[in-house]
Amino acid sequence: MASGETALITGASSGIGRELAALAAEDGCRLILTAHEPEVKTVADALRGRGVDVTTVVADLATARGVEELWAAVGSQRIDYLLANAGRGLGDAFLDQSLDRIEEVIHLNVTGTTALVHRAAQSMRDAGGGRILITGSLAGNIPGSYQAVYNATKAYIDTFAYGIRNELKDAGVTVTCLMPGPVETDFFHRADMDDTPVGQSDSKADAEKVAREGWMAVKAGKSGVSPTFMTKLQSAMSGILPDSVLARLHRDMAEPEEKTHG
Amino acid sequence: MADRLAVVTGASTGLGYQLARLAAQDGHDLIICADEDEIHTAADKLRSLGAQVEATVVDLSSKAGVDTFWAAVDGRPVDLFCANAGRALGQAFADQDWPDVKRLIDLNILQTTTVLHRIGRQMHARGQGRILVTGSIVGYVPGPYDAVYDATKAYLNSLCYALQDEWEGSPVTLTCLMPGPTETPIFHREGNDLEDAPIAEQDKDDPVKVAERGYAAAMEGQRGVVPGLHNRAITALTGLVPETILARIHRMAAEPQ
Repeated sequence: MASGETALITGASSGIGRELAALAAEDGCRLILTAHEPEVKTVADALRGRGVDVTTVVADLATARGVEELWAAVGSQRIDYLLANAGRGLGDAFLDQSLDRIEEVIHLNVTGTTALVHRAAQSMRDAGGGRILITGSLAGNIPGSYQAVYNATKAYIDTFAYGIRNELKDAGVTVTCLMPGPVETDFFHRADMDDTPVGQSDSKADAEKVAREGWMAVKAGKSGVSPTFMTKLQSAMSGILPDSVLARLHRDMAEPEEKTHG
Repeated sequence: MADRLAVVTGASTGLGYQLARLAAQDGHDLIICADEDEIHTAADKLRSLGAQVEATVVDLSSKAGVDTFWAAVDGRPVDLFCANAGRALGQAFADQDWPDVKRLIDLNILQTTTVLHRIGRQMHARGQGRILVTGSIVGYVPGPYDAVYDATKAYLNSLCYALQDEWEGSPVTLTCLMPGPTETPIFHREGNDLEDAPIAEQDKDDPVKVAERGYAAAMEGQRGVVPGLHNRAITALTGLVPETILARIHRMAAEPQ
């Protein structure tokens, strides 16, 4: 279905981004992969070994310069899929976090993501179509004690994705928000959260499964998807969480497409 | 000179001015700022209420602006901090100019967060203080044609509820004021591009009443306040009520051991 199309994937060196790259490649996409670390080249080499056409750009999307560099590398190529996945977390109490690291999280998760989606949305609108997947999080629905800024950035992303989806519909551009719960990636380690219950939990979702559900959803142009989360949450938390909370979380997963979010 | 100090950002007009007025009438001296010269007019009016007022013209969407603002506070203990400065931006996202979008994010999210970090540390070191953050009910109602603004308010609402949970048991309180559409210059300010939006012409809440509810909630240390019956109905429908519970659950997962 996606054969011969081009997918631009950010945060592609590891985790969900790396899995998204593999899935887009399986479907025959040309890939432009970016990450702030050179490991993205290793990911690209493995895919090239399977005959995939891959370009890599090492760029820090937390900076305006990084976004410029990536977009310059895209040049006049038509982007059929933007998978805006780059993001990072930050654990610990807000007042114990350093301002520098707080700013990095905001610059990458909010500013960089919005800048890239802005350019892609304009380019796709002008080209008459395209599909955007943004990696939000179920954390966006949950004020995040001891991860307060990260969860707030995901509240931004989830709200932003649903807001622009409606605007871009008539231009043939779809926007899908991938909202996983905890996923087994480097995320928690990089966020200094090895010493937290969620960091140590061995029941986090598998990155490949999460990416697969996200890729299916963006191909279908769905509004949002929260993979593999509810069953685990319900089994772990049933009897602890008030029903109103479970209902709210469940609505985010189970609400029929197009009914309310457009 | 009063024995309490209130700091209000975005105080030249609208909710910010009303919050500053209430703080002055309640016996605070004031440090106020805004990105426009009207802040000095506001300061003159507030002085007539008997308060000592320092006014600064500063653009809080820039790091330099926040540094200037923080230098104006000059280490003085702040009893009440109203993080109110914010902008809106209408039109479709793909039609907006990137510098305008970035400025909105820098003001509503980035610099509000850095200022809260600084004031939060000061208040916790001192062991007292009240913070009022101007969020919005639109943070719970994703909307087209103001998508980035709505999302910045979703960020602020989420941050507020998380910090309240982290600060539970601390004498420092944080209140999230979540107004619905309020009759302030935000709908008519040049650059916000909302003049043509239907909401600009509809009946909106009175900023005096909204500020009174917010100020009273901050003084009582309430977590969140949604002024206006209609607005409360909206937030009830979108499931606002369990935010405090959700924050508590998140603590169980993410608190360092």
